[in-house]
Amino acid sequence: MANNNLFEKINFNSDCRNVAEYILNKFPVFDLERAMKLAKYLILEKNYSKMAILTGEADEFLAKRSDMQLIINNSVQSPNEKANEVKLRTKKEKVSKKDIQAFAGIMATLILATSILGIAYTDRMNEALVKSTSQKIDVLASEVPIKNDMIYNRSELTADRIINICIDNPELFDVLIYDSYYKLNTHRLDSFNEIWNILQTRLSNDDSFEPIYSKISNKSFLSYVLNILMINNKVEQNSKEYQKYVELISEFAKNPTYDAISKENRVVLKEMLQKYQDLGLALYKESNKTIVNAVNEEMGGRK
Amino acid sequence: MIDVNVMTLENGKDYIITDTVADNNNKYLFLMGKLNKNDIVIRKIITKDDGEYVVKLDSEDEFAEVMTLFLDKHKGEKNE
Repeated sequence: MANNNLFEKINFNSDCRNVAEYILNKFPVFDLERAMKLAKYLILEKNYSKMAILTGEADEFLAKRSDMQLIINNSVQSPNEKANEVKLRTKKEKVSKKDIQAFAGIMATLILATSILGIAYTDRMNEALVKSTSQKIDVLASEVPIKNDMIYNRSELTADRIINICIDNPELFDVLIYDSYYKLNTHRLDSFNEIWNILQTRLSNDDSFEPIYSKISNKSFLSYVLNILMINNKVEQNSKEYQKYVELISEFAKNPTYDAISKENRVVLKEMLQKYQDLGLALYKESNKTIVNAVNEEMGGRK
Repeated sequence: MIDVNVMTLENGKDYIITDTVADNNNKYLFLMGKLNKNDIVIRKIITKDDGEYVVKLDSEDEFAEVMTLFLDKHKGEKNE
Protein backbone atom coordinates (compact mmCIF):
# COMPACT_ATOMS: atom_id res chain seq x y z
CA MET A 1 0.00 0.00 0.00
CA ALA A 2 2.85 2.32 0.71
CA ASN A 3 4.07 4.40 -2.16
CA ASN A 4 7.62 3.21 -1.44
CA ASN A 5 6.78 -0.03 -3.19
CA LEU A 6 5.73 1.58 -6.43
CA PHE A 7 8.41 -0.07 -8.47
CA GLU A 8 8.13 -3.57 -7.10
CA LYS A 9 4.63 -4.25 -8.28
CA ILE A 10 3.41 -2.20 -11.15
CA ASN A 11 -0.33 -2.25 -10.93
CA PHE A 12 -1.35 0.20 -13.58
CA ASN A 13 -4.50 1.70 -12.15
CA SER A 14 -3.46 2.04 -8.56
CA ASP A 15 0.07 3.18 -9.35
CA CYS A 16 -1.20 5.80 -11.76
CA ARG A 17 -3.21 7.17 -8.92
CA ASN A 18 -0.29 6.94 -6.51
CA VAL A 19 2.11 8.69 -8.86
CA ALA A 20 -0.49 11.28 -9.80
CA GLU A 21 -1.16 11.89 -6.15
CA TYR A 22 2.52 12.33 -5.49
CA ILE A 23 2.80 14.77 -8.35
CA LEU A 24 -0.11 16.75 -7.00
CA ASN A 25 1.25 16.76 -3.49
CA LYS A 26 4.73 17.77 -4.46
CA PHE A 27 3.84 20.09 -7.28
CA PRO A 28 0.53 21.74 -6.60
CA VAL A 29 0.77 23.71 -9.83
CA PHE A 30 -0.14 20.54 -11.73
CA ASP A 31 -3.80 19.99 -12.22
CA LEU A 32 -5.21 16.51 -11.75
CA GLU A 33 -5.72 15.78 -15.41
CA ARG A 34 -2.13 16.64 -16.26
CA ALA A 35 -0.81 14.72 -13.29
CA MET A 36 -2.77 11.65 -14.35
CA LYS A 37 -1.57 11.93 -17.93
CA LEU A 38 2.00 12.29 -16.79
CA ALA A 39 1.70 9.38 -14.38
CA LYS A 40 0.26 7.15 -17.09
CA TYR A 41 2.98 8.15 -19.49
CA LEU A 42 5.77 7.45 -17.01
CA ILE A 43 4.33 4.11 -15.95
CA LEU A 44 3.60 2.91 -19.46
CA GLU A 45 7.09 3.91 -20.51
CA LYS A 46 8.44 2.17 -17.41
CA ASN A 47 10.47 5.30 -16.95
CA TYR A 48 11.48 4.42 -13.44
CA SER A 49 14.16 7.05 -13.06
CA LYS A 50 11.68 9.81 -13.69
CA MET A 51 9.13 8.12 -11.48
CA ALA A 52 11.69 7.91 -8.71
CA ILE A 53 12.35 11.59 -9.07
CA LEU A 54 8.66 12.31 -8.96
CA THR A 55 8.15 10.18 -5.90
CA GLY A 56 10.85 9.15 -3.47
CA GLU A 57 13.45 11.65 -4.50
CA ALA A 58 11.18 14.57 -5.18
CA ASP A 59 12.57 16.66 -2.36
CA GLU A 60 16.09 16.19 -3.56
CA PHE A 61 15.01 17.02 -7.04
CA LEU A 62 13.35 20.20 -5.91
CA ALA A 63 16.68 21.26 -4.44
CA LYS A 64 17.94 21.32 -8.01
CA ARG A 65 15.79 24.33 -8.56
CA SER A 66 18.33 26.45 -6.74
CA ASP A 67 21.08 25.07 -9.00
CA MET A 68 18.97 26.09 -11.95
CA GLN A 69 18.49 29.55 -10.54
CA LEU A 70 22.22 29.89 -10.02
CA ILE A 71 22.82 29.08 -13.67
CA ILE A 72 20.25 31.70 -14.66
CA ASN A 73 21.86 34.28 -12.39
CA ASN A 74 25.31 33.60 -13.79
CA SER A 75 24.13 33.59 -17.38
CA VAL A 76 21.81 36.57 -17.62
CA GLN A 77 22.90 40.17 -17.51
CA SER A 78 21.39 41.84 -14.47
CA PRO A 79 19.98 45.38 -14.94
CA ASN A 80 22.66 47.06 -12.83
CA GLU A 81 25.53 45.00 -14.15
CA LYS A 82 28.04 46.53 -16.53
CA ALA A 83 28.02 44.73 -19.88
CA ASN A 84 31.17 42.69 -20.26
CA GLU A 85 32.24 41.37 -23.59
CA VAL A 86 35.00 38.82 -23.72
CA LYS A 87 36.86 38.05 -26.92
CA LEU A 88 36.23 34.47 -27.93
CA ARG A 89 39.61 32.86 -27.62
CA THR A 90 39.88 29.17 -26.97
CA LYS A 91 42.71 26.84 -26.19
CA LYS A 92 42.77 23.07 -26.56
CA GLU A 93 43.08 21.07 -23.41
CA LYS A 94 42.67 17.48 -22.44
CA VAL A 95 40.18 16.61 -19.76
CA SER A 96 38.94 13.31 -18.46
CA LYS A 97 35.81 11.89 -20.04
CA LYS A 98 34.39 11.75 -16.54
CA ASP A 99 34.39 15.55 -16.38
CA ILE A 100 32.25 15.78 -19.47
CA GLN A 101 29.97 13.07 -18.15
CA ALA A 102 29.48 15.19 -15.04
CA PHE A 103 28.20 17.94 -17.27
CA ALA A 104 25.87 15.52 -19.01
CA GLY A 105 24.49 14.43 -15.66
CA ILE A 106 23.82 17.95 -14.51
CA MET A 107 22.22 18.87 -17.78
CA ALA A 108 20.10 15.71 -17.71
CA THR A 109 18.67 16.92 -14.44
CA LEU A 110 17.96 20.27 -16.01
CA ILE A 111 16.31 18.57 -18.95
CA LEU A 112 14.07 16.74 -16.53
CA ALA A 113 13.39 19.95 -14.73
CA THR A 114 12.37 21.72 -17.88
CA SER A 115 10.77 18.98 -19.92
CA ILE A 116 8.92 17.04 -17.25
CA LEU A 117 8.57 19.31 -14.29
CA GLY A 118 8.86 22.56 -16.11
CA ILE A 119 5.44 23.57 -14.95
CA ALA A 120 6.72 23.59 -11.41
CA TYR A 121 8.94 26.47 -12.39
CA THR A 122 6.19 28.94 -13.14
CA ASP A 123 7.47 31.25 -10.48
CA ARG A 124 10.93 31.47 -11.99
CA MET A 125 10.79 30.43 -15.60
CA ASN A 126 9.33 32.36 -18.40
CA GLU A 127 5.89 31.70 -19.67
CA ALA A 128 7.03 30.66 -23.13
CA LEU A 129 9.12 27.83 -21.77
CA VAL A 130 6.39 26.72 -19.42
CA LYS A 131 3.96 26.68 -22.29
CA SER A 132 6.40 24.81 -24.46
CA THR A 133 7.12 22.16 -21.83
CA SER A 134 3.47 21.94 -20.98
CA GLN A 135 2.76 21.17 -24.62
CA LYS A 136 5.50 18.56 -24.65
CA ILE A 137 3.83 16.79 -21.76
CA ASP A 138 0.50 16.93 -23.53
CA VAL A 139 2.04 15.53 -26.68
CA LEU A 140 3.70 12.72 -24.78
CA ALA A 141 0.56 12.02 -22.83
CA SER A 142 -1.63 12.07 -25.90
CA GLU A 143 0.25 9.07 -27.21
CA VAL A 144 -1.02 7.08 -24.28
CA PRO A 145 -4.45 5.53 -24.72
CA ILE A 146 -6.81 6.93 -22.16
CA LYS A 147 -9.56 4.86 -20.66
CA ASN A 148 -12.35 6.64 -18.93
CA ASP A 149 -12.05 4.53 -15.84
CA MET A 150 -8.53 5.82 -15.25
CA ILE A 151 -9.68 9.36 -14.73
CA TYR A 152 -10.28 9.77 -11.06
CA ASN A 153 -11.44 12.89 -9.47
CA ARG A 154 -9.67 14.43 -6.53
CA SER A 155 -12.22 13.15 -4.05
CA GLU A 156 -11.64 9.59 -5.18
CA LEU A 157 -7.90 10.07 -5.00
CA THR A 158 -8.17 11.34 -1.47
CA ALA A 159 -10.51 8.54 -0.46
CA ASP A 160 -8.10 6.02 -1.97
CA ARG A 161 -5.21 7.58 -0.12
CA ILE A 162 -7.04 7.31 3.17
CA ILE A 163 -8.07 3.70 2.53
CA ASN A 164 -4.59 2.66 1.42
CA ILE A 165 -2.96 4.02 4.52
CA CYS A 166 -5.67 2.85 6.89
CA ILE A 167 -5.55 -0.75 5.71
CA ASP A 168 -2.25 -1.05 7.55
CA ASN A 169 -2.87 1.64 10.13
CA PRO A 170 -6.58 2.02 10.92
CA GLU A 171 -5.75 4.13 13.94
CA LEU A 172 -4.62 6.89 11.60
CA PHE A 173 -8.06 7.31 10.12
CA ASP A 174 -9.22 10.34 12.02
CA VAL A 175 -5.86 12.07 11.62
CA LEU A 176 -6.00 11.49 7.88
CA ILE A 177 -9.51 12.68 7.33
CA TYR A 178 -8.83 15.72 9.44
CA ASP A 179 -5.65 16.38 7.50
CA SER A 180 -7.40 15.88 4.16
CA TYR A 181 -10.29 18.06 5.17
CA TYR A 182 -7.98 20.79 6.29
CA LYS A 183 -6.19 20.77 2.95
CA LEU A 184 -9.33 21.25 0.93
CA ASN A 185 -9.33 24.93 0.26
CA THR A 186 -12.23 25.34 -2.09
CA HIS A 187 -15.77 24.17 -1.64
CA ARG A 188 -14.61 22.52 1.53
CA LEU A 189 -17.85 21.24 2.86
CA ASP A 190 -19.23 19.81 -0.36
CA SER A 191 -15.91 18.27 -1.34
CA PHE A 192 -15.35 16.59 1.94
CA ASN A 193 -18.86 15.34 2.10
CA GLU A 194 -18.21 13.73 -1.26
CA ILE A 195 -15.03 12.11 0.05
CA TRP A 196 -16.89 10.90 3.07
CA ASN A 197 -19.63 9.40 0.92
CA ILE A 198 -17.05 7.64 -1.26
CA LEU A 199 -15.41 6.21 1.86
CA GLN A 200 -18.73 5.07 3.27
CA THR A 201 -19.77 3.41 0.02
CA ARG A 202 -16.45 1.79 -0.78
CA LEU A 203 -15.69 0.53 2.68
CA SER A 204 -19.15 -0.81 3.38
CA ASN A 205 -19.16 -2.80 0.14
CA ASP A 206 -15.98 -4.75 0.79
CA ASP A 207 -15.57 -7.09 3.75
CA SER A 208 -11.81 -6.78 3.68
CA PHE A 209 -12.21 -3.18 4.78
CA GLU A 210 -14.12 -4.15 7.89
CA PRO A 211 -11.36 -3.12 10.33
CA ILE A 212 -11.36 0.36 8.86
CA TYR A 213 -15.10 0.52 8.61
CA SER A 214 -15.51 -0.28 12.26
CA LYS A 215 -13.19 2.60 13.02
CA ILE A 216 -15.01 4.94 10.72
CA SER A 217 -18.42 3.99 11.97
CA ASN A 218 -17.69 4.95 15.52
CA LYS A 219 -14.77 6.59 17.27
CA SER A 220 -12.96 8.01 14.29
CA PHE A 221 -16.09 9.35 12.77
CA LEU A 222 -16.90 11.14 15.98
CA SER A 223 -13.36 12.51 16.17
CA TYR A 224 -13.81 13.75 12.67
CA VAL A 225 -17.12 15.38 13.54
CA LEU A 226 -15.54 17.10 16.52
CA ASN A 227 -12.70 18.39 14.35
CA ILE A 228 -15.15 19.77 11.83
CA LEU A 229 -17.10 21.53 14.55
CA MET A 230 -13.90 23.07 15.87
CA ILE A 231 -12.76 24.19 12.44
CA ASN A 232 -16.11 25.87 11.94
CA ASN A 233 -15.99 27.52 15.37
CA LYS A 234 -18.96 25.61 16.66
CA VAL A 235 -16.98 24.20 19.55
CA GLU A 236 -14.11 25.87 21.34
CA GLN A 237 -11.15 23.77 22.29
CA ASN A 238 -10.99 22.98 26.02
CA SER A 239 -14.48 24.37 26.62
CA LYS A 240 -16.93 22.38 28.75
CA GLU A 241 -18.73 21.32 25.60
CA TYR A 242 -15.47 20.13 24.09
CA GLN A 243 -14.67 18.07 27.18
CA LYS A 244 -18.13 16.57 27.00
CA TYR A 245 -17.59 15.47 23.40
CA VAL A 246 -14.14 14.10 24.19
CA GLU A 247 -15.60 12.00 27.00
CA LEU A 248 -18.27 10.72 24.67
CA ILE A 249 -15.66 9.73 22.09
CA SER A 250 -13.61 8.08 24.78
CA GLU A 251 -16.60 6.05 25.98
CA PHE A 252 -17.43 5.10 22.43
CA ALA A 253 -13.87 3.91 21.86
CA LYS A 254 -14.08 1.46 24.75
CA ASN A 255 -17.35 -0.05 23.65
CA PRO A 256 -18.14 1.09 20.17
CA THR A 257 -21.87 0.55 19.83
CA TYR A 258 -24.65 3.02 20.18
CA ASP A 259 -26.52 0.81 22.63
CA ALA A 260 -23.53 0.48 24.93
CA ILE A 261 -23.09 4.16 25.69
CA SER A 262 -24.84 5.83 28.59
CA LYS A 263 -28.16 7.56 28.13
CA GLU A 264 -26.52 10.89 28.91
CA ASN A 265 -23.95 10.38 26.23
CA ARG A 266 -26.60 9.35 23.71
CA VAL A 267 -28.03 12.82 24.16
CA VAL A 268 -24.58 14.34 23.76
CA LEU A 269 -24.03 12.25 20.65
CA LYS A 270 -27.23 13.43 19.03
CA GLU A 271 -26.46 17.02 19.96
CA MET A 272 -23.01 16.78 18.42
CA LEU A 273 -24.26 15.20 15.21
CA GLN A 274 -27.04 17.75 14.95
CA LYS A 275 -24.47 20.55 15.05
CA TYR A 276 -22.56 18.74 12.35
CA GLN A 277 -25.67 18.49 10.19
CA ASP A 278 -26.47 22.13 10.82
CA LEU A 279 -23.29 22.95 8.91
CA GLY A 280 -24.96 21.55 5.83
CA LEU A 281 -23.13 18.25 5.96
CA ALA A 282 -25.00 15.06 5.37
CA LEU A 283 -24.24 12.27 7.76
CA TYR A 284 -24.58 9.62 5.13
CA LYS A 285 -25.22 9.38 1.48
CA GLU A 286 -28.92 8.83 2.13
CA SER A 287 -29.00 12.19 3.78
CA ASN A 288 -32.77 12.41 4.02
CA LYS A 289 -32.68 10.17 7.07
CA THR A 290 -33.38 11.93 10.29
CA ILE A 291 -30.52 12.35 12.65
CA VAL A 292 -32.04 9.97 15.17
CA ASN A 293 -32.55 7.26 12.60
CA ALA A 294 -29.04 7.72 11.31
CA VAL A 295 -27.58 7.36 14.76
CA ASN A 296 -29.71 4.36 15.61
CA GLU A 297 -29.28 2.53 12.35
CA GLU A 298 -25.69 3.24 11.47
CA MET A 299 -23.99 3.40 14.81
CA GLY A 300 -26.13 0.97 16.67
CA GLY A 301 -26.04 -1.61 13.93
CA ARG A 302 -22.33 -1.96 13.35
CA LYS A 303 -19.36 -2.97 15.39
CA MET B 1 41.22 11.84 -21.85
CA ILE B 2 39.47 13.83 -24.54
CA ASP B 3 40.23 17.13 -26.30
CA VAL B 4 38.07 20.11 -25.38
CA ASN B 5 38.05 23.84 -25.99
CA VAL B 6 38.60 25.99 -22.92
CA MET B 7 38.02 29.74 -22.64
CA THR B 8 38.44 32.37 -19.96
CA LEU B 9 35.37 34.42 -19.06
CA GLU B 10 35.00 37.94 -17.70
CA ASN B 11 35.24 36.61 -14.14
CA GLY B 12 38.74 35.33 -14.85
CA LYS B 13 37.78 31.66 -14.55
CA ASP B 14 38.42 28.99 -17.18
CA TYR B 15 35.43 27.18 -18.64
CA ILE B 16 35.13 24.10 -20.83
CA ILE B 17 32.88 24.52 -23.86
CA THR B 18 30.62 21.52 -23.49
CA ASP B 19 27.83 22.20 -25.95
CA THR B 20 26.50 24.72 -28.45
CA VAL B 21 23.04 25.55 -29.71
CA ALA B 22 21.92 28.06 -32.31
CA ASP B 23 18.82 29.68 -33.68
CA ASN B 24 18.49 31.82 -36.80
CA ASN B 25 20.15 34.80 -35.21
CA ASN B 26 22.45 33.67 -32.45
CA LYS B 27 24.81 30.97 -31.33
CA TYR B 28 25.06 30.01 -27.67
CA LEU B 29 27.69 28.23 -25.62
CA PHE B 30 27.14 25.92 -22.67
CA LEU B 31 30.17 26.27 -20.42
CA MET B 32 31.28 24.21 -17.44
CA GLY B 33 33.83 25.44 -14.91
CA LYS B 34 37.19 23.78 -15.40
CA LEU B 35 37.74 23.59 -11.66
CA ASN B 36 34.14 23.48 -10.43
CA LYS B 37 31.99 21.17 -12.56
CA ASN B 38 28.82 22.54 -11.00
CA ASP B 39 29.62 26.03 -12.24
CA ILE B 40 27.59 26.01 -15.44
CA VAL B 41 26.88 29.15 -17.43
CA ILE B 42 25.45 30.00 -20.82
CA ARG B 43 26.86 32.69 -23.08
CA LYS B 44 25.88 34.22 -26.40
CA ILE B 45 28.35 34.75 -29.23
CA ILE B 46 28.19 38.11 -30.97
CA THR B 47 30.17 39.01 -34.05
CA LYS B 48 31.97 42.32 -34.46
CA ASP B 49 34.31 43.66 -37.09
CA ASP B 50 37.34 42.47 -35.19
CA GLY B 51 36.05 39.02 -34.35
CA GLU B 52 33.72 37.07 -32.09
CA TYR B 53 32.88 37.94 -28.50
CA VAL B 54 30.88 36.21 -25.80
CA VAL B 55 28.35 38.09 -23.67
CA LYS B 56 25.75 37.27 -21.08
CA LEU B 57 22.17 36.74 -22.18
CA ASP B 58 19.87 39.76 -22.26
CA SER B 59 17.05 38.36 -20.16
CA GLU B 60 15.49 35.31 -18.56
CA ASP B 61 13.26 35.12 -21.60
CA GLU B 62 16.33 34.57 -23.73
CA PHE B 63 17.59 31.99 -21.22
CA ALA B 64 14.30 30.15 -21.56
CA GLU B 65 14.61 30.21 -25.33
CA VAL B 66 18.13 28.78 -25.12
CA MET B 67 16.90 26.00 -22.86
CA THR B 68 14.18 25.25 -25.37
CA LEU B 69 16.81 25.01 -28.10
CA PHE B 70 18.81 22.70 -25.88
CA LEU B 71 15.77 20.52 -25.27
CA ASP B 72 15.00 20.35 -28.97
CA LYS B 73 18.57 19.41 -29.76
CA HIS B 74 18.60 16.58 -27.23
CA LYS B 75 14.99 15.52 -27.24
CA GLY B 76 15.71 12.08 -28.69
CA GLU B 77 18.26 11.23 -26.04
CA LYS B 78 17.60 8.96 -23.11
CA ASN B 79 18.45 10.21 -19.67
CA GLU B 80 17.97 7.01 -17.72
